Amino acid sequence: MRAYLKKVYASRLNSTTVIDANRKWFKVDWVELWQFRDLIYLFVQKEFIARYRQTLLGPLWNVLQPLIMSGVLTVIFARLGGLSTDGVPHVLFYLSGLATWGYFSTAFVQTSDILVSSAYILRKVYFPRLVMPLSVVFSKAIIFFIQFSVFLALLAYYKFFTGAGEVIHPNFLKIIFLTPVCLGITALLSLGMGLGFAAITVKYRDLHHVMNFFIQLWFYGTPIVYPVTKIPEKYRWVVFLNPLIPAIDQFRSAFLGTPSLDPIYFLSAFAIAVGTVLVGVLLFTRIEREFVDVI
Amino acid sequence: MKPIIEIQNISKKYRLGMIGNNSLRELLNTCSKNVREKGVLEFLKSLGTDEDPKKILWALKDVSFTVDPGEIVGLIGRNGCGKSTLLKILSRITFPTEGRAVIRGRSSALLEVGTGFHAELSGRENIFLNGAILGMRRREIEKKLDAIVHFSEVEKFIDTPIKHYSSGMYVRLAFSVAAHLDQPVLFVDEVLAVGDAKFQAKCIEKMRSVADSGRTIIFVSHDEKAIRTLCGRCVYLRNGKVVASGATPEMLSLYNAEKPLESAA
Repeated sequence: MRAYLKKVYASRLNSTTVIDANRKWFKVDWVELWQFRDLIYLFVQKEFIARYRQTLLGPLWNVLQPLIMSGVLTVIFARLGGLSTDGVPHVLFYLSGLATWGYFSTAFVQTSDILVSSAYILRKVYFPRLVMPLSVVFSKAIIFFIQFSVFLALLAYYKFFTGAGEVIHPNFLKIIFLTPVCLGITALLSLGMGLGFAAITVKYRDLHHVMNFFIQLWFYGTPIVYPVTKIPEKYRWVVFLNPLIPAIDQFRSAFLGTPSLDPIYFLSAFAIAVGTVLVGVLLFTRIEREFVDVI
Repeated sequence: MKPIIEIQNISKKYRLGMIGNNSLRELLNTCSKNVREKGVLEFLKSLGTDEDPKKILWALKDVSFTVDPGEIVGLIGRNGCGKSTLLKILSRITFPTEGRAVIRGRSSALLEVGTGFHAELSGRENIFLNGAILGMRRREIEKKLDAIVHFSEVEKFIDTPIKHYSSGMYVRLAFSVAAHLDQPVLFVDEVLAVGDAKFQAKCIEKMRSVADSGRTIIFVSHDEKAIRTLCGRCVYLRNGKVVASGATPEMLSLYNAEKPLESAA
């Protein structure tokens, strides 16, 4: 594989670029994208350095933020609202949802604005435009893994050192085979939605204003503060519309042993996520050729 | 020998007014205005063709020329003649409406120096980021790091975030990265000399040696002296069309002959 790529890369070094008005519907130069992998890495690095330089706590914020959020949710929804968390400790229940949700929402929001917010670069230099959204999805994935390790540490603590250990039943088979797919669904969905929104926002800034509101609605439409089992049987079809529901549901069930939905929902979520990326890339590659003239 | 750059009948059309459709109300207004003026049927027909000659600007029309390997070609012409548009098309930032261009080799564009510089990053981190944006691999940048830092004369501050740089230090660092690109084809727009007089002389000197190294450069500038010293040949553009192309001195005198007439108008 490496040898093959090296060969392709070498042959591309002195290759011929043809520039024309040709508008193909789906045109992604994967080899070129691979050549620019260093740029993806450097954008991710920039994101981290720029965000945490001159902060006292640095990346520790990524740990504190979901912990504080879980605390707030515990007080409001579990204690005051009396919402069930399927019998598992509140913090674990909320954290398991928040980590995935945080990954999705931050990657989606930042990607959806990427063409407008980095127009100052894109107007002056060419590189495969997909580099920017991909670097967002990667850098948010790193943050997800930081939060995920906090979740694992807390999980171990509750399982082995507290009385709640008996109600937590991690399923190792599911953890190995299903959680990577959960993460994949989340990444693909945020990338696909982000690309599509980015493409449309270039022409119609309206979407930019809708974003905050939209994300909040989506938050409550996803079982983060309530268990999936709370969704009434006759409204189960909404699960087909929101791939994040099965993703979070299976993730939670793998680590905490909570009851999960029928696997058919999970499969459909995966299919929708893949479809979203295809549509997103399609819209994005359509607009990337002309957006410099529009923006 | 095949020309390294072939530009064949490139045209670029901009639709004026269409660009401003930023809100739903504007969009509806234009539509309803068109429906009132033309009637529904005519309006629907016009959606496909959308050719209102008053609203169309051809920034480039039928531009063709070729560049041989090792040539330094200057693009001259007044503001708005299409030089920068052509450079943007060649560097793949925007695309032509018609025609095609073939570039036989890796190319990079310098439309400004320091693209993507981030204030919070150190000089060193910015060299890597900016270099990668311009198409260099990390390995290549590492090899050239010392040369870039040395040329920029900011050795002492290379690990300081560039928000603490003076504007002179900033442009020197930005230029140094650009000057150490090694793509065989370069498109350069006005970013020739930056900094104080002494550093500017150094920049010109560097550009000369880049030019002498056998690379192919298309160069846009309003600086006649720079054009004279660097470019063997010039292409003279006016209103998006090629007026003439040939040896630099003749082209410059042609251009200078036009200038007073146009500016008087």
